[in-house]
Amino acid sequence: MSDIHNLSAEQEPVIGDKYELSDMLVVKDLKMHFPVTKGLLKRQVGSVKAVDGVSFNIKRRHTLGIVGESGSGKSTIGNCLLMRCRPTSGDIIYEGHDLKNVTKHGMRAMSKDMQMITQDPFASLDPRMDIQAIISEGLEIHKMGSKKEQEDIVIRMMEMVGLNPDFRHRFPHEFSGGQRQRISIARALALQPNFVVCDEVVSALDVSIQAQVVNILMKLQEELGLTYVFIGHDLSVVRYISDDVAVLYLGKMMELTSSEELYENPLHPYTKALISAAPIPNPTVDRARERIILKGEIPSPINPPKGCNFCTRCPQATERCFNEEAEFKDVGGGHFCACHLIGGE
Amino acid sequence: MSEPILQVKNLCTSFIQEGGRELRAVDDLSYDVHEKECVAIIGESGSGKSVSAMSVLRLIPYPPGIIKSGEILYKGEDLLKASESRMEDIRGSKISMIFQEPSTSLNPVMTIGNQIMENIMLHTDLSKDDARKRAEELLTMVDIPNADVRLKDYPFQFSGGMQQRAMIAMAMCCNPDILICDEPTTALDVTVQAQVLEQLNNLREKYNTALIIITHNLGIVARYADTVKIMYGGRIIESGTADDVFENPQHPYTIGLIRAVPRLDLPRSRGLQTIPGEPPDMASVPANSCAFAARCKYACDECKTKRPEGEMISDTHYCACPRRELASEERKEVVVH
Repeated sequence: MSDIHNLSAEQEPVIGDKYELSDMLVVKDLKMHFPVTKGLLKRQVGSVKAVDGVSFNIKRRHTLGIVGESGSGKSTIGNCLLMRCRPTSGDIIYEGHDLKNVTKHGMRAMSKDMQMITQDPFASLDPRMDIQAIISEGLEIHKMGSKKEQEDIVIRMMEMVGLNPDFRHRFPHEFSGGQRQRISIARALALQPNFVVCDEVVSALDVSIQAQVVNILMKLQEELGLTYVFIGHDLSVVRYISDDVAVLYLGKMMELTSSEELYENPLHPYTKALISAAPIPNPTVDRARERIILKGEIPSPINPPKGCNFCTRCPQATERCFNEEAEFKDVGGGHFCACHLIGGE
Repeated sequence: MSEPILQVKNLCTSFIQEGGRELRAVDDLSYDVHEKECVAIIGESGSGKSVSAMSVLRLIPYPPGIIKSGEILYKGEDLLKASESRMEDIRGSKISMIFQEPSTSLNPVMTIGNQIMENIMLHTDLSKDDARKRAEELLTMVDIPNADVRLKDYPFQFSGGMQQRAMIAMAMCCNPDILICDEPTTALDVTVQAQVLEQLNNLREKYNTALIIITHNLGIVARYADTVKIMYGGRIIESGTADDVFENPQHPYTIGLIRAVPRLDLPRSRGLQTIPGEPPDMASVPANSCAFAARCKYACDECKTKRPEGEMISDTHYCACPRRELASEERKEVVVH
């Protein structure tokens, strides 16, 4: 924590009347456009609008779930939050610090406080490092503790995620997918972060192992007071772990509300389709449900539709939807939705 | 019910590892498939579900894989005794298969059209022009717009969902009796997954094709499956109609598996049940024990030394757990509407 507060000497905190203090992270109109170049001179001919104007707040010790299909920009948001890619425009304010103004050096200090767990437990662990080295790498980079202290932390972290600490000198290939994901969690938490981005952490795991990992993440949140951004494509898992859920489509937010409200009262046609497509392992319930089958697939983010991003697949689209962008607005009680058909004049 | 079109009887498939250790991937597996039936085979990675399907088409690489014993009767004919040329007639024509990763099953340097036509011309006497017309019909059938133009596209020009639909079109080219789908929607987005499943179901209704869907996702089959088989450690541990298995699960593994799936329609406060431990390494499970015993909270010494006897609970419902009564409390919690 202390390093974070040292930073305020370098820059003025922006916390004022503008932002509630309970919000750990405030994101305002975040845009991330990647240039598309062509030819020898790398002339820019267009841009991939991966994230195109997204705003949200995250309260301390809460979990924001971000759900979307592939190409919706959900991982890009995660990368922007940790400044792994510099946003094209927009503000990310973490604990009062505008990350735009934080230097590379400052970002390294902050990275102790902000960590990420990624999807593929096979690609994200160096096969030539043993578990001890993997988990303590961050501690070494930040020069935290002596060798002995680091080893103690590794042992404690492994116990915390339910791994036998005696295995700390083994290599990643000796572990199964679920165990590797636990190693990733231990590595991220070894630096005692407050904020963790979980990017599709359970997507590659079997059902019974997925439940184990989800439960570990929730237990650790409770014990360590963590704040999560939980990114996923499976609405049932995301809703299960999150306090609030944001539905993302083609770089824009379609709906944002508490996870209870999202299932009980979904407003956006895309959210409704997602809910109806999420399988329920009970034939009586599943056969009785209305099923919305969307036509086609998510359009290219290089060339998004002119009006509402969802208009090409929306079963309820009107002429207005094809011409005019829908504003992302509060439709009552903190339930945000971007649809012309909802809460309109 | 009519005669089954496919009967798998006591199938055992093993892989011989280095040092001669035998890994029993499929261990005494039996099931029937009837015309137009949708059979779901559910299991986690390493449960032998894919190997069992590959065995039906004799696609197990030898060595190291070997089908040790059993019968696979397709309309009364034992495929394990059939000649290789007879198998070539059957594969892709009478029994087709689609795989999990459409991008790796399609040939990247051949147009979609040529790949579909290749299969048509292999199994029928159609001329090249007629085969092209048929390929166009098939692509239209799986809802790919502008089929005549898209035939000239290469796989990379198709999205994941379209690639999988092209695979379905290819598999359906000779109106097969049985379509085996190995994790057909695992790599796809939820909304596309729903499209593909609906498509498969429509084809089944229209062409009376029986479907064998292999998946680790319990949810996707609840709606479509007629019969459900739960596999663990190379064996079927429970089977029955979808209602039997999902609404009245008997085996502690089935119960645990259903409770491990987060359900959108139930409050979050319900909690996620987990099954402790990891899926077994098949090479280390003794033949005369229950494969689930190491993870089962109701296991006794007998479970570890004796292979559990299966029994029929009703006409359709089979379960291989003698101690299933002990799980009655947990069972009640599964059945929530």
